[in-house]
Amino acid sequence: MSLIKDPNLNNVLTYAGADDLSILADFITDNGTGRMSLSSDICTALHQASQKRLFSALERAYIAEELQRFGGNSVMNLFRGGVGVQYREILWDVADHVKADYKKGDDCNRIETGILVKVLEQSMKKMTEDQRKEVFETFGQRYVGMGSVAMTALIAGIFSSSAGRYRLATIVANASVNALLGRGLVLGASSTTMRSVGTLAGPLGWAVTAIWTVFDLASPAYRVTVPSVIQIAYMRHKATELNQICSQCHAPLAAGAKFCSDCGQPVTKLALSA
Amino acid sequence: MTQRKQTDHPVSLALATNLTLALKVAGPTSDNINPTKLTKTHIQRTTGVARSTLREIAKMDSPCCANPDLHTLCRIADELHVPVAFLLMGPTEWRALLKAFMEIETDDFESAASYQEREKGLRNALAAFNILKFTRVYPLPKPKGAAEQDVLEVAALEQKNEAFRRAALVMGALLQQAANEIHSLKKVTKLAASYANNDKSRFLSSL
Repeated sequence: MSLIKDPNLNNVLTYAGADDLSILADFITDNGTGRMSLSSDICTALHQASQKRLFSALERAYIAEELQRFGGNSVMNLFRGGVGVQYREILWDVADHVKADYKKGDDCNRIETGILVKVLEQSMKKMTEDQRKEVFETFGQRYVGMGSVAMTALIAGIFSSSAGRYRLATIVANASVNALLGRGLVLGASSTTMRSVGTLAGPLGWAVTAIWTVFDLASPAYRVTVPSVIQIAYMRHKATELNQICSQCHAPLAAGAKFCSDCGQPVTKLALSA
Repeated sequence: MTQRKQTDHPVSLALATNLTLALKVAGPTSDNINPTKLTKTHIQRTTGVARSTLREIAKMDSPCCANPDLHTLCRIADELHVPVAFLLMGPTEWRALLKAFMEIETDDFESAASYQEREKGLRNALAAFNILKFTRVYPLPKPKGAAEQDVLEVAALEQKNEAFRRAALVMGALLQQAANEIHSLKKVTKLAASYANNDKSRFLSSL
């Protein structure tokens, strides 16, 4: 039985690789230097796991617990007495602040993508024409300017395919890790994504570091939850692409399964084809 | 001149709105329980502020035209039984204050204030600013390894951080005078830090 009670985090964190988890651990511990409201024992445990790239079930549970607690520390949840909240509520809160397009009934994947789209939109204001063209081409669109119709088409294009959503998650998460921790994701992505990862890291990095000011995410807890949401979005897409979790209900899949045992969704893809 | 109008407009509009809202409910008790209007004539009679001045202040379509002096504002506030500062506060400031009040009870601010208290004491000009540093909300971060061509972005960020620092120091100086014993000192210092943090989108957007 898993130590992580929140199914939306359990699905992602239980099967995630150490490289991806170490990024989450570093966001939570501020690269090992610690945070005011983080217990030194947990900080040490997570930092050591991050250094050794070795995460047991306990450290994975620490990540989930701390993330939920930081979510509970954001202002809207104050009256719960600082108790952790469900990951989905953290997402709703961040999505509300960045004015992402979502509905309360949407699954986490959809809400996370909505948040990533907002980060991308924000960064595009600071991009050169060449970089904007690169964005459109990355998502299979022709660049005809930055009008609202073009942006709507771009966003619709991103949402319409799982490859597009994964590509977006990869590009934004890499820029976020780069900007905040000074390193990149360990990627197995395709050449199209890799090219965009390099070209767009600059403006996206500025958008990620400005997100707290631009969208009025003042509480210190958002310094942990926002980059963690971006990273978890990437990890969730990666797990789906690797067939570790179901693309429909995000339940864990058995190795070699052809159908999801929870919802019956066929398992079709087997490659990281971003 | 343009700069002055931009800065004045929200305050003038807040004053016009506040005065209008206050006059609607500040009248004498009536037979039924509903609040009644307080007339401008009544204010003129009790404070000596002319009706034409009150009309000018309450005009919401061109709020910049009115420029009441401090003495006039104080007389109106006294008559309405509210602090004069409250007449000048708009929804943005109230929301920031409310968020700040809520935020000071969170673990981050409590831990940071306790740390500051233990290490350097709270009766200190830097106390509120240090709380923002300890909670890692100051400085606003620069992307690690920002490219050399981002000189303008970096300069703009430094300007924002300087404004943020000033806001925290000034709020600390203003609020700490209200503290008369150790417990309230901690609370007002946290409040100063948190208000500067929650109100920063207003002063940073004007840079």
